[in-house]
Order: sequence, then structure tokens, then C-alpha cells
Amino acid sequence: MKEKPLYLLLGFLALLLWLPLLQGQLKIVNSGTLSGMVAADSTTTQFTLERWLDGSFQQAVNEKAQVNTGFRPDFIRLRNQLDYTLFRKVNAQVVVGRNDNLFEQAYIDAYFGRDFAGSEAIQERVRTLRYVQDTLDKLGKTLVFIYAPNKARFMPENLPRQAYDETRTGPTNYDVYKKYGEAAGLRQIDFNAWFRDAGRKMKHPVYGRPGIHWTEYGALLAADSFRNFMNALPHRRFALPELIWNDAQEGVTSGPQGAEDDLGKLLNLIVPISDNTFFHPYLEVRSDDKQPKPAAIYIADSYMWMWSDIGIPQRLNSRYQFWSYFYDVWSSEWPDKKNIKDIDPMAEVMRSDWIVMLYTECNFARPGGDFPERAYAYFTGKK
Amino acid sequence: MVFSSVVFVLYFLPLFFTVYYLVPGKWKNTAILLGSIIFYAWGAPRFIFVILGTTAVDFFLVQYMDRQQTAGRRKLLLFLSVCINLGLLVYFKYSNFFVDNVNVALKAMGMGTIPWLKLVLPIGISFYTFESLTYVVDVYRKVHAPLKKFWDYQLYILFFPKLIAGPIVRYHDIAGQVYDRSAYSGVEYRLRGLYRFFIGLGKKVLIANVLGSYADKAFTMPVQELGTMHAWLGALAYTFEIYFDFSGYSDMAIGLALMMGFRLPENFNNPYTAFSITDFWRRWHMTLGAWMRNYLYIPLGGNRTGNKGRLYFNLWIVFLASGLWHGAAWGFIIWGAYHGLFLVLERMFLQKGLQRLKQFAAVYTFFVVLIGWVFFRLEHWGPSVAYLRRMFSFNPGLIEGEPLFWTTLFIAGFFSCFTLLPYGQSLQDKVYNNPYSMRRHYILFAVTVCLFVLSVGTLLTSSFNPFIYFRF
Repeated sequence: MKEKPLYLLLGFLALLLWLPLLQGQLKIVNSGTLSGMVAADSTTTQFTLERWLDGSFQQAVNEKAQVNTGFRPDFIRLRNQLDYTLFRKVNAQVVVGRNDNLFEQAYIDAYFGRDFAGSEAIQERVRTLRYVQDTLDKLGKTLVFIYAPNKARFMPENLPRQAYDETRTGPTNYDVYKKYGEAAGLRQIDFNAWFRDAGRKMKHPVYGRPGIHWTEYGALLAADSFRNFMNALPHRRFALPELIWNDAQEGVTSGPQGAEDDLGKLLNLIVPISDNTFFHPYLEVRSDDKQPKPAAIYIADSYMWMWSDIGIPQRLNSRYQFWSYFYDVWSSEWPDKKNIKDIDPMAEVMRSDWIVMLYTECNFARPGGDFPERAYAYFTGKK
Repeated sequence: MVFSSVVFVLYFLPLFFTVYYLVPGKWKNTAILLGSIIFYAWGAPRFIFVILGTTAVDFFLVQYMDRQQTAGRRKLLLFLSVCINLGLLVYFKYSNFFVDNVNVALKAMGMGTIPWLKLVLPIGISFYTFESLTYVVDVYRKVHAPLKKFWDYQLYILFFPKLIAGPIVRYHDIAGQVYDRSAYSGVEYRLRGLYRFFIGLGKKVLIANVLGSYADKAFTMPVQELGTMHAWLGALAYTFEIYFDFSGYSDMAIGLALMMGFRLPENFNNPYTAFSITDFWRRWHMTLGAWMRNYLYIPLGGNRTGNKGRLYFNLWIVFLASGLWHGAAWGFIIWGAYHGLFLVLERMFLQKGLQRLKQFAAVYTFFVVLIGWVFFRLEHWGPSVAYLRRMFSFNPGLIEGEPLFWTTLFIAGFFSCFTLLPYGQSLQDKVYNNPYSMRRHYILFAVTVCLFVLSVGTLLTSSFNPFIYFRF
């Protein structure tokens, strides 16, 4: 047998082995980056005899080698694509439901009540919120509690078969909050129920297959209902401007934007999950925008981001703050993110008109974080 | 360092082989030795000194033994060397097993217990101890002269392809190749070695790991929650996992060695197609079987005892030792005794019945082996019996498994038994044994590229499991 072709084959395989190492060092081709977060690697690869002997040096080098391997994103995308196409298997913390609908486990757990916080704890929290609401009312401020929808509750028929077949037993945080909230007279808007009843009849999807959060369209419909609710409150101080979007473009649909495919991005596929039914409305600015608007604080989970991205608080409020999980703080008044510890939350409450709590049920273990207790302590003078 | 890791495949492998092929012939053994030291020291830095020290003692002891003229002195030095090697193995591997069992007895007598020793098992100690013993015994038996240079002996022991998981290479099988590897040094063998390495990597990463993940869940879940079908699937998954894991590792070792011109012995030959347990042990971990035969069974008297009772006892002892070699737990000893029992039964009467079954005898073998793996996997009598009870409880329960698992199980089953099919054996020979045509090279080349991409992709994916982080 001629050896030349064999040397060519050997050379090609040698090149194949060398390429990831060369790419890792020289970055010859741009492989892009992978979506999603992984635990931060804080280990150092500094060599010491002690670290070599106890193996921590080798472990750190192994981890670094994994991350710095050339073409890593391409290898991972290819492997993910094969897994997904052939076996509907995902290599991310995402649950694949029926019809390519993606979920997060926490949302499914909340729907089945697996994270139930307990009736007494919920009742106590509702009582605290009611007290805070009454006190704020007396100060001319409005507290409203909004139940953001849950995709698992919105389309249980698309949950994975195993989860869907499970018999629901026991209460969920959502059911119990709703019950006690209504009984206590808490001012609340239930988008979970609204999405389930009316969301399916809308012209465009309020949830997309590759996302766990509402679509821009769904977020806009919810915002419109929120505006109507606030405008209908007795003793209202503000006439909120109408949210008008470009009906002319209705029927024009396209692929997901921003967070509409937040879970789809995590799959890191070569060919993303196809869904071209998204409607991206454009909010118009009306002349009545010049009327006085309330200053608001939104204490919310990740559902708030879509409202913020499509400009809801910017349209409805003179200024606003977004307290994400009562932890990070963004504001229309300063450019960078702050921590809740860097501000005086109750001072901010006292110079605001609205306190809006927007939470989906998978965050109902303690919606609002420490806010209800802090506010209660502030108003009662108790620590 | 393990072969199925990113750091080995994408860093060590290209760097080592580039150095190996570039250095002149007289430096190649030095390159292998240095590579082997780095390879071992990466995973077991403390034990590299243990292994270097014991091999040094062994080397000079054996040279001294070889120079002795009297049989008595030779025997004494042989005894000394065997004691050192087995002593280390017993100390590192079996001390705590011994302490554990003594403590059970002491507790039963109402006495205080002995504290455990703080020991970490040196990687590969079972393999290199057995290889060291073959060196001592082969020189003692004058099968082969001792190696002339100390570093050549180090090379034989530390040779990284087979250092931590075999095949167990007997000294006289490889001694000549330390000095002359011209028989297998052409480009043809380098390519075939590379093909073999990636076939092994694919077996480990794409098949064994997937099945292992399923088996781990089945064997670690509370046994009362386990349905019959699930228990069987777990045992089946483990049966294929251990085969593809171990044979994959052997393939990688044989392939790597072949890339350097070494021809290592085969370690597996379709064991799940065996027609009896006797046949199974001619096909499973063949190098261990050969070692046990040559260095334990034959010295015990082998087949020539003239006394059937003694013969059966010898067989059983060998399998008890084999079980104990696999691990320091009663489950391994039971597993060895269990296989030994079937071997004896086959010698006594079962073999004739199995011959009448012809190919269907493979079902009997597979069943016996599968049951045996339960003891091997769970390592203890109680949990193993509880698991086996679930397997025979006839309470179907839920059948769990994702499409990837089922597909992999099917592929594993097919490739474990395909030599029973017409043309199966000839297809295997074409890949592993027969000379290659250019067309076959192209096919294996394409397969290798696919296995490389899939295996590396899998290794990298396993370390990247992202979660949503919605600007929190």
C-alpha cells in the first residue's frame, strides 16, 4: 500500500488534535460565546508544591483547560443540537415540554405546589401587607400586589408528560395567597387567572415556546390591564395615559426578541427552536403623556424586565425604581445598578406614589423579600 | 490523569506525541518515561514516589537474584520481592478492610475497636503490582533475562497507556519491545492506533457514561422504591456500562501503545457472547485471566493435580483471589466465589448441557454474569440481596428512561452481541485484526473524526450545564 495517503490521513488527524489547543491559545476563528450562566470559577492555577501534592493545582488546570479549549462553543452547540434533535435532551437547567415548549423546573414545582410555604406563613405575610397597604393609603400612596402569570399554569397541557400526568394534590402558594389576599382585602391583580381565561383568545401569543416569561405582547396586554386597574381605583390622584400600540402592524409577526426566548438561548443550539409567531408592538407616545404621573417603586421578580424593556414604567411614571427581589436596585434617576443596602428603602417609599409588587408564583416563598417586614417595622416603630 | 478527559485528549495527547515523533530514536524511551511520570504524577502526585521507590527496590533485588547460583538463595530473594510487592498492595488496599472485619468481631465480643488507617489507594496499584510480580517470577523462572537498565524497567512499569487500568502486561510479552519496536512502527500502525484510541474513547464517553448514569440512579435509589423492571434495567445498564467502560479503556490503552509501536495484548473478546462462564473468563479481562492462570493456578497445581476435589478447590481459590483483587469488600469476594462456583459446576456436569444449547447457551452466561454484577456493583451482601429481591419481586413498577438511554442501551446490546450474527465476527476482524485496504482506512478515518467530535463535545458539554440568570 502507498504510504503517502496514509501520511495525509495521519497528518489530518494530528491537525484535528492540535486545532483546539491552537485555537484556545491563538483565537484564530471567532466561535462566539455561549448563553447562560455557570458557577464562577474562582480557582487559581498558580503552582506550588503543596497545591500539586494535594491535587488542587491539577484540578484548577483541568477546569481552566475545559473553559479555554478552542472551539468549545462549537463543540458544545453541535453536541447540544444532536442531543436535542435526536433525543429531545437538553444540557441546561431547562425542562422540555410538549410541542417544544420550554419550562424551568421552579415554575412547574410552583404549579404543583411542591414549594408550598405553609398556610400560616402566608396568612401572616398577607396580614403584614394589608397593614402596610392601609398605612400607605392613609399617606396617599398606593400598594398593589400583582400575580404575574406562570407558564406552567398557563399551558399545563404542554408540560412534559411525566409532570402533566402527575395528580395535583395539596395547596399551592398562589391559591393560598389569592384566598387570604381576597379575604384580607389586599389590593391585588391576578394575571395568572386573566392569562388562563383570556390569554389564549388573544390575536398573538402571550407566551412563546422558547421563553419562560411573557412575550412583549403578553406583557403589554398585562400592562394595559394594570393601567386600567390603577385608573379605576377610588380616590385616584393620577389620570394615567392610554397605552396605544401600532395596530397597523398587527399580523406582522417575527421571531423572538430579547427575553422572549430566554430559555431557548440557554440550549445553545446551532438551529434555535423555531417560533415565528411573536408580535412586537410599538408603543406610541400620546399628547396626554404631559399629564402628571405617579412616581413608582416596582418590587418585582424577573417578569418586570419585560415591562421595563418595552417602556411601561417609563410611560406610566414620572420616575421609577425597580427593586429586583428587594436586592438590586435600578432607577430612572441614576445610571448604574445599586444594592438595596446602598439606599434607604423607606425614604424612597415615602417619596413615591405607588408601590407595585409584581411576582410570579415560583417566587412566592417570600414575595417582596424583606420589604413587608421592613415597612411594617417602619410604620409601627417596632424593630 | 484519565484518558477520557479534556486535558488528556486535547493537551497531553497532541503534545506528547509531537515530542515523541520528533525526538531521535534513542530518546524515544526517555520521552515515554517522562510522559508516563507526568501522566501518573498529575493524578497521584504523592504516589509517584512510592511507585518509583518500589520499582527501584524491585529492579536491584531481581538483578541480585538473577546473579545467584543456588536455588535456595534465588527462592529467598523471590520470596522477599513478592512480599514487598504484595505487602504494599495489602497495606494500601486491604488494611482498612481487615480493620473493618476485625472490628465487627471485636464488637461482637464486646471489645473496643481498632481505628481506621488514613490511607488513599494509589491509582493503578493492583495493576502495577501484578506486573512487577510477573517481572520477578519470569526472571526467577528464567523465561526472560532481567532488563539491563534501571530506566528500562521503570518504562515497563510506568508505561502510561496501561499503567492505571491495564491490560496487565506480562514482562516477557513486552520485554523485547522496550528495545525494538520496528515491527509495529510504520504509519499504518500509528493510524490504526489512533483509530483504536478513539473507538475506545467513544465506547467510554458515548456509551458507558450514559448507561452508567442510569445504573447509578437505579443502584443508589431506596430499594423499596425500585420496581422489577427498573431493577432489571439498572442491572442491564451496569452490565453494559462496565463492559464498555473497561473494554473502552483497554482499546484506548492498546491504541496509544500501538501509536508508539508497542503491541499490547488484547483484553476483551466479546465476553457477552460466551457460551459458558468458563468461556466468559477466556473473553473477559483476558490479561488478568492469563495472569491468574500462570502465576497462581498453575503454581497451585493447575489441572494436573489428579484429584478432582483439589482441582475444584484450586479453581475456586483463583476466583476468590480474582474477586479480592477487584476490590476490598465482601461483594467482590462473593462475586469471585459466585463465578468460581459456576466454573466448578460447569466442570462437574453443566458443560455438557450447555453444549446441547449451542448459541442459546449465551443467554445462560449473560444471565449468570448479570446477576453477578449486582454483587460487584453494590459491594456488600445485604444491599445486593435486597436489590436481587426487587429484580425477582414481579412488581413491574414504572419503566423510566429517556430516549438517549434506550438508544444507547440498544447500541450497547447490539455491539456486545453482534459477533453472534452472520458476518459479525468477520466485520470485527476487519476493524481490529486484518490488514487494512485504503478504502478501509478512509472509512475508519471518517469514523474517527466523528468519534473525536462527538466525544470531545460530550466531555465539554458535561462541564457546561447553564442556568437562567435573568439579570438577577
